[in-house]
Amino acid sequence: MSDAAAIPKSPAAEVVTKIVNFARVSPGIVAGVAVLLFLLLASFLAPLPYDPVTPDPTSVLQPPSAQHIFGTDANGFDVFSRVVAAGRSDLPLALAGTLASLVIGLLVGLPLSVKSKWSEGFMRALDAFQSFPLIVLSVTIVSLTGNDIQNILYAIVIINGPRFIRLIRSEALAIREARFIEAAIATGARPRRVMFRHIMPNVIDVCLVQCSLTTANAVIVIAALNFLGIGVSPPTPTWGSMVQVGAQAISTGQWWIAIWPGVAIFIAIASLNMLANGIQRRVEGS
Amino acid sequence: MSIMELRDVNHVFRRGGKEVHAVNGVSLSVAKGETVAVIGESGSGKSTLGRIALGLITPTSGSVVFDGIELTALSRKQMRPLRSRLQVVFQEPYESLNPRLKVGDIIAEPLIIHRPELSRAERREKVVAMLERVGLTAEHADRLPRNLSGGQQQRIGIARAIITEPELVILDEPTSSLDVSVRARVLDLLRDLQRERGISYVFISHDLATVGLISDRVAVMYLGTVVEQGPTQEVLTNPRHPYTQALMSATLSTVVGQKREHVPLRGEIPNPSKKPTKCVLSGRCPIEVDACSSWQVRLAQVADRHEVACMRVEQEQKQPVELGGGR
Repeated sequence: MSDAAAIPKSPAAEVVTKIVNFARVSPGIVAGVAVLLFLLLASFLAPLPYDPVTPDPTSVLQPPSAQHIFGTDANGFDVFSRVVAAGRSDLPLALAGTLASLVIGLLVGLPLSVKSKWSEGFMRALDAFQSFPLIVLSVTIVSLTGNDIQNILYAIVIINGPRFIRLIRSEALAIREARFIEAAIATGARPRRVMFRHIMPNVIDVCLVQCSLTTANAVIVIAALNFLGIGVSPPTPTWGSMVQVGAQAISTGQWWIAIWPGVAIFIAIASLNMLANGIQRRVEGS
Repeated sequence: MSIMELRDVNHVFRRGGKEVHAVNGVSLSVAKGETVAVIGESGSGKSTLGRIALGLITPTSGSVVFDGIELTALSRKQMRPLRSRLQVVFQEPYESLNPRLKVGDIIAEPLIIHRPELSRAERREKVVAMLERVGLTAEHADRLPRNLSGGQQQRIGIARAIITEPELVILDEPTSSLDVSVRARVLDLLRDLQRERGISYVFISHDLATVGLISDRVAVMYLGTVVEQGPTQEVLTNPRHPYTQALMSATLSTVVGQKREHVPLRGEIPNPSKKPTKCVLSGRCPIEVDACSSWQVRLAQVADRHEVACMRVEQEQKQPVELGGGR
């Protein structure tokens, strides 16, 4: 540290050095974040060769070529443009669903770490709720309440909120036994202060791991719902709906329509899992 | 004038249908500016007693009076404003500091809670002054606890305890996890702070040497009961209860070649699952006689302010005949 300070460096170079050092310790985190950022930036900023929502009826079911590097589908949409553009809705939606699940997990899970009959009862109710196949439940809810994009958000929260609640509660229960919690109470800290100032910062590590896993899960949930035709109106590109459309063409030999959105889903999930793994290792290391 | 007065305190834990009689009929008073040591092995109930004195545990029965206020009658909420006057330092310095908070924030927390009128700058100023008082520097305020040594961590625990200028601090084995050289300096710090601010201490420990250095009076606990108490010098030089004698003789001497009479106790400390109905040392005592098993434990005066809970000592006191066992 001290010798690094001796050589004056530009702020940019310093940031690069920091990232390189971080990557040496935690390559998974850096690789995962880099791929995710790449996917997000590409979907919003990359110049697309064709309009993803305007079909070209003159080039239908074209195999990958110089004009259409991922080919075109039965309606004449350019698959490459649509795969990239689909990240615009799929990724932010997955992240938003995860964030909502985390907030619910903290707001519900932390208070539930106070042992009482009420909190035990709530946990049993949650057990009962989670014993439903939640994807079916969310499909039902979304299809009953309408084909709205925010309903997908609810579906993600229905599936992942209980997981966060359970995780945060069990972590908080363990931390509550720590000596520094007793010290905080002896100092005169109110229950709310104990919860948010002393317990919450200590559950964040496990929450980060869970967040990256949840985002991966959310990408799949979104794709599954879209595959079933829920949540989006047809011209809007999503990976799930593209796989669904493409799946119909596989039997007739047009493999490229389904495979590219599938690859995109795979890359997103792989990078999120890498991130989760990296965070997990860091947490265990410290 | 005593700052804290415990009267006939009993505490029973219930764990999975089993009872643990952690504290049995303990009375203890702490005068202003005084240090009272509570000595005992692990499982003697001394830490439970400390938590009862802090109002963290409400005893099953008995009274806990802090500066004229009956703590057992207070709710947790009513207890809170008092906590600035009644503080604690725990044994494990690292475990008692939130690993996610910076040292400065840890020490500032009691001020945030009890002195909300202070501005951020005033608080910072007090924190830095306190850091310097306990032998650290302003630069330590931005570090995390894990980057400090055990001695430094305990100094932070002490700083947090005294920043609200409490009248009584419970020291629950504050030095037992520290290296010997560090221990001496932390004890010096505690003693200097007491002299400056007139704080009273309850010093919970299992270490007789440390207790001899810091305390004015000492209470020896065994199986949840005080078996002997009195002025520290008196108790350590002239222990009367067979348990205290055994504890003293088990302490290693640093004087080369010094021979000590070893007073053996039979067996192990028993499980405190029953309330003792006879002398607590019964079954392990080297001077036990048949009558001991029907004797109700009580403290009896043997010298000025020196009290012992032993039937044989009590009888010896009444009729000073040779009994052979005691010293």
